[in-house]
Amino acid sequence: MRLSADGSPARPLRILIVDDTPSDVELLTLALEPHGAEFTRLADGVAARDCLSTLRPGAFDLVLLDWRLPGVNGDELALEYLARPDRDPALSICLITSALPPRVTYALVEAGAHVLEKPIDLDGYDRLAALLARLVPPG
Amino acid sequence: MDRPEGPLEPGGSEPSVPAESSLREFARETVQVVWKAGADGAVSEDSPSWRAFTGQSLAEFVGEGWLNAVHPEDRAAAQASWREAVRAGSIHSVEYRLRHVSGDWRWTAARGHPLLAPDGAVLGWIGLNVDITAMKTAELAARDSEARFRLLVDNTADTAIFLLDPDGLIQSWNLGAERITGYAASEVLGHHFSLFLPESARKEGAATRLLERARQFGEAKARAWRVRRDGTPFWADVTIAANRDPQGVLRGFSDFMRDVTEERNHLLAVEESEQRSRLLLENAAQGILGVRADGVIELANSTACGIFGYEHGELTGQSIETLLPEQRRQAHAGHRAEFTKSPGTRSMGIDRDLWGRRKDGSVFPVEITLSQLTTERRTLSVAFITDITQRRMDRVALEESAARFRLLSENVPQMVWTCGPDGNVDYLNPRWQDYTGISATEQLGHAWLNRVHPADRDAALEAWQRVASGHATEYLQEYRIQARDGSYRWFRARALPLRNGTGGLVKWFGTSSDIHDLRVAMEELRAANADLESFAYIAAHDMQEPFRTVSSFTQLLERHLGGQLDERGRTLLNHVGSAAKRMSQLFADLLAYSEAASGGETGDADLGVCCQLAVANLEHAIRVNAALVEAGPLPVVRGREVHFVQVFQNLIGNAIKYRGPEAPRIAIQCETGPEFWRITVADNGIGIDPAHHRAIFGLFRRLHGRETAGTGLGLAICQRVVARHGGRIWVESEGEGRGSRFVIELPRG
Repeated sequence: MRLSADGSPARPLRILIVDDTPSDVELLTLALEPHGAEFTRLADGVAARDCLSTLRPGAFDLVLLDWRLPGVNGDELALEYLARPDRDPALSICLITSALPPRVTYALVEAGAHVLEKPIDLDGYDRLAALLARLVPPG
Repeated sequence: MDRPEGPLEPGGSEPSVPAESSLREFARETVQVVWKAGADGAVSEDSPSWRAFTGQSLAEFVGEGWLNAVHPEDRAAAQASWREAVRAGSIHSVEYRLRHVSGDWRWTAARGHPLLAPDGAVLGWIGLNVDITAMKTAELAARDSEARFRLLVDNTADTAIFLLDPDGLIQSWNLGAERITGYAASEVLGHHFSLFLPESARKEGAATRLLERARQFGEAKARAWRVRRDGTPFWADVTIAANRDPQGVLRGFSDFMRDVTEERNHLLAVEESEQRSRLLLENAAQGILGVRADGVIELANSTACGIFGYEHGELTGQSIETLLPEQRRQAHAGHRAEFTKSPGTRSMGIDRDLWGRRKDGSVFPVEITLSQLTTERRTLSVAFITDITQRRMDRVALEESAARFRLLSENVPQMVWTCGPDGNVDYLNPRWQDYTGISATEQLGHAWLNRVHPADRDAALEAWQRVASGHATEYLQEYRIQARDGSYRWFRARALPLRNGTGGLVKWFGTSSDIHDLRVAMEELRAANADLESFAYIAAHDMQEPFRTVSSFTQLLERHLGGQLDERGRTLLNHVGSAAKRMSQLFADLLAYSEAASGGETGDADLGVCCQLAVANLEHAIRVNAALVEAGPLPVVRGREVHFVQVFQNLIGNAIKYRGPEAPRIAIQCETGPEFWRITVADNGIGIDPAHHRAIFGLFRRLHGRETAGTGLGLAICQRVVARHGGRIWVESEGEGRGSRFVIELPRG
């Protein structure tokens, strides 16, 4: 559970998860729930692009993108959104993937995205969830 | 003019003076008038000489009537002087003009002396008038001429004229001096004239030397730098004359100074141009002969002497016909006469054979340009002569080589072309026509560009312009050329320059080779490689998903069932989970293997750090096996650290995995060779049979069964990384149970 500066429970994290593998989405939500989170789930790139292009500032704290997605890949979505002049500066964009060509990794990190490895077991998911919760400042 | 001073002694009607005779004589010669006056100053006695001089009668000049004969302008002064003398009893002395009987005005010097009684009382006056007209005229003339002279000096603007005192201090200053030096009179009067000298000359005492010379010889001249008030220098023509009085006493100096900077510059320019002409003449690559109308050589530069085999200067004075073969001499004399009659510049020897004859009698071909030099004094025929022996030989050689080139180029399978230094194509071999269907002659110059694919044209033209401007030393360009059927094929054009002896560009020789098939294959290969790389990552990404699902959900199931599972059930679930993890590891390794040969950023890789990271990653295995890893100093190499971490991790991991009965001991060391770093990773493990020393670096090679964890990719990855960094890896082991020693050689620098 995340705490505010005054020690009271913080409001839940608002997380957009874009992943076309239901089992991966479930493992992610399971790991993140103990940190206090609300989820919006999208399973394809085109829907995610629509959502990101009309995003209201403060709608989400965190966007978690898989790399390979139907329609548009996660790296393209991230780069497109981060290049927008009206992007929400408080919103963290994070690629969570088990493989990514180094070239793509460099471009994403350069643009301000986070790139994290998709775990292969539950312990890995727990560590990832703790790391993600720390990405968003409480309050 | 010396005159007796002081009052005259009275006595008789004539003045009584000690030297009476001489006075009389003096009076006869110079004194025109003698007169007397009473004590009160009024003339009362007759004076025949006054009457004779002025024409006044006694009645007219008695009392102060004499004043009427005095010039009206001088009258008041004469009267005042006389009255003052009478009042004071002192000598009356005044100059005034007196009307001569002829009607002229004559300048006279009048003197009146009181005649004194022994008690000092004035008894009367005796006076003289001396005609000083001649002297006065001379004096006036002198004054006039001096004034004019002064005016002249003062207003001379182009020459500084000033007087110096005997010490060199400036006494006067004129307009010229002011103009030239920029100093006003008030700034220089009383200053030493060395003020105008440059500091260096001043220090050397040049000013003193000039004055000393003027003093000694009456005049000193110099041409030297002087400095203006504003510090700018000018080249001055200086004359200093000593001024002496009639007794020869030095009174000072006159300094005349002119600014002759322009004149000097002009002279220098003329000198320079003369020098240049001489230099040009002497160093001309052509022989130059100047010949008089009578055929005598008056001028021959050293090249001309060299061409004809003469010593320098030896040709001057010889007849021009000496330099011709004997059988041509007579005709030449005729040509020469004709040329003198109708001169003009003309070239000879270009369309007909001209021959020269050396001093040793040998004959050689020449080219001559004739021209005529006419000055006010005379006319000189000038011949510019070139020995064209070498050129003739070169032309023959060139013709032969061109024939050889043509034979060769017409028969090779490539397109062959040549072009001049300006980039204009002047030859295309028949392959061009075979391919494009257009005759070569229509494609010369820059027309060939029209057959180049529009998309490649700019690059081709730009590269070609670099060549034409002389900036390129080689031309290498690939572009598509349109074939006769309208399709395009890729060609690689390559050209090398032919230079003459002095490095000047003569020609480009080029070939265009059909590389279409090669190029297309290369492009396909590049695309295939890119696809392959993406494929590896996509495969790794997508295939991890099922393993992750299996391993994670097995764990979830185990948590969910909790105590309901017995020992057997848990073991079965573990098998499922660990198989999935192994599969996942296998894919991660495969990806690492494919990536080990790929590009990407390279930097400095500190192998010491890589080794430490590898040890940290293996911390669990090292602890469990009580292994001892000892690493000596390791170098920094070019490469990516992540690759070398994998290398050390695989080698150390293997050493632990294939351990013997004793605790593993692993030693990592580096030797520095002249060109290579040699890094060894040695262990005390089970060793490797020499039969397998090569095979173990292959993909999926495992010498041991499933009981030892591993994907069979570790050493293949090592091999790939080392090869990519230009190095080699191999293993040394004396066999099973004798330990292993992995050796990596990496190039230095």
